[in-house]
Amino acid sequence: MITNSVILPIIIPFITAVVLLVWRRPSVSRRLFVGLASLFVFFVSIFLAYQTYHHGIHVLRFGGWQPPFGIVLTVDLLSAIMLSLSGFIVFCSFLYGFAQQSTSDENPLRLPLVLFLLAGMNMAFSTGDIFNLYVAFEVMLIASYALMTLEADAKCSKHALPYITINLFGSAIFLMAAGLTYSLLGTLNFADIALRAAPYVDDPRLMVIAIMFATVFGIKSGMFPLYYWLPKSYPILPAPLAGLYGGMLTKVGVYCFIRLFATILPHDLVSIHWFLAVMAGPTMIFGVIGAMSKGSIRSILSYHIISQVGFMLLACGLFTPFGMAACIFYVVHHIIVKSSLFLVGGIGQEINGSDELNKMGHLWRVAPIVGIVFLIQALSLAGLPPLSGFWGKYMIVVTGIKMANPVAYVLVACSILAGIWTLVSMLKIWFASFWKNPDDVSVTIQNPRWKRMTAVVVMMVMVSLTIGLGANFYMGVAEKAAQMAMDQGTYIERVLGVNAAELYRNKNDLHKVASRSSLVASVDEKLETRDQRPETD
Amino acid sequence: MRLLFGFSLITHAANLFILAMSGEPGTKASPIITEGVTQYVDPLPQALILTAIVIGFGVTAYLVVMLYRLFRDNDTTDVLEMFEDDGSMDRGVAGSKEQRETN
Repeated sequence: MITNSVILPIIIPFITAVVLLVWRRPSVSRRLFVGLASLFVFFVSIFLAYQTYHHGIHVLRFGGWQPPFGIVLTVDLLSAIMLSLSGFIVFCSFLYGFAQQSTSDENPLRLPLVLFLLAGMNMAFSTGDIFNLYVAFEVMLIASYALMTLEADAKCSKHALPYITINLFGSAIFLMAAGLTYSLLGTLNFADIALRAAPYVDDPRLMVIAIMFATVFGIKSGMFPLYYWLPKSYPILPAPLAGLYGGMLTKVGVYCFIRLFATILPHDLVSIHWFLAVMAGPTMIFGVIGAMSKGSIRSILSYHIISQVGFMLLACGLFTPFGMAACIFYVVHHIIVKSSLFLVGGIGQEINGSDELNKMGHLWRVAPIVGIVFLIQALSLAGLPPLSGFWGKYMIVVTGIKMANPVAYVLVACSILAGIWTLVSMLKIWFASFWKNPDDVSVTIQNPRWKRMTAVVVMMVMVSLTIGLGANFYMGVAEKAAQMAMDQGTYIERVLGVNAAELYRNKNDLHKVASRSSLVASVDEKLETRDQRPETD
Repeated sequence: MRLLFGFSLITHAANLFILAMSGEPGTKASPIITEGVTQYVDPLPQALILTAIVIGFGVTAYLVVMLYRLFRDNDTTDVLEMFEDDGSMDRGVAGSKEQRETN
């Protein structure tokens, strides 16, 4: 029963979306239906997180096929945390959208597309299979392409093109990487790859696969040389969707990085970990420099996503259990803070009629609550204690210093510099839109519904504050999630059974893999003849 | 337009690549169980390709509609021309990079 509930976060949004495609006319009852469905997904995810925290990884084998043959869904604590976050953000984005638009203005396709997006993301978070991950990415990406161009006007629609193009290219690389993995290891199951990849640590072929995956996930998460699509495409989205995209979509890439390096590939690929950490440096710096050069709230926030992703990749690339926990904590903090900042930007746009900073002003006078909310989240993003961003940054810096390595010191210096510059650009928004009262800018309240929108954001800020003030509890959860994600032995045991885990634990005698069970043996023979594995002693 | 054809090419290339990963077919039989045959072609890459083709089809359909819309919005299918008169939001690194790529 509990194991079967693993599929609910994927199947509920999917069914709801299909129902909504038939139920075309926007109405209050349709909104209620969607709201309840997304809330239900959120609660199921929280329940799964509770279950995995206490009882370990849940594995759902479709059709009762024994892995590595069938398709599996594996939910560990990290997956469950990500599922909960995606449920929460989608729910907030729905509420905000409902508050912003009356039913007559609503585009009938927006809600089903967001639900398809949610289904794709949740599938990416809970799958235990590389090819399934590819399919999940495609579901997610197609929904996101369509959402991006759905409500864009004629002037903006072209900015979606770079996003689409680079992601299509990324998908092709992903497909090829999956093919290479299959040809090298004869399997696509995460646990089985973890089991079989161990002897290939020094093999350049495994390196190539790792780099190809890193490229794909780097495109998705906006890593340094691959980020140029992000700040162009996100600002064309309407505010609730920008919050969702800015919060969740790049973090799918970060999640995949953690999963790939911690759970799937052997932990000895030190050079790639360092490569990731070193790329994180320019990602942080260039992201924040881009942010300082921009003149509208959504562009600034889009660039900040890049610099924040740099922090996460740095924590992931340093590759210590504590660093991994820092990465997970940072993801949790960042998703909520970033989404709520985009939503605050949306409120400012409704009040001032624009989110170009030189056309804004008076916000503090008109809406002090929005100002307070913005300030809390902006300072949290910059990393001031006792807000949630501080703890995330603190953990990353501690991890970096503990490495006692000159490169790590430089990277830590980069991160502190990026933190200060984040503060500068956040203050730029603050002064331009909240503090100054220029005479040539009038307050044209476009939409009297902004107060309800504020209520949604206040709710998110409350959650964010509890992360900052109750950091101890969240830290514990993040540490447990990191430890679970990095414990390949237990992962293999849960997915493939005790025998396989035994084999993993004495991983040096590879040829025993062939005899791990009678079922697997036959296929292994076939594989053995096919790709003549090198004997390792 | 060239984007569309490029995309079709690269997806087909990726599909063929996976097919190549299933190894030399040689004298192996197709993966349907028949008596007296012990050597089968690995069926999994074929299943993967089938999925990938379906996905590729969906994405291509979307891309065609998207390009048509871009054509209607901008009166051109030339990416370079499309991003030429761009005052609003992509001054700086992102804009110039995009233009360099299309060159």
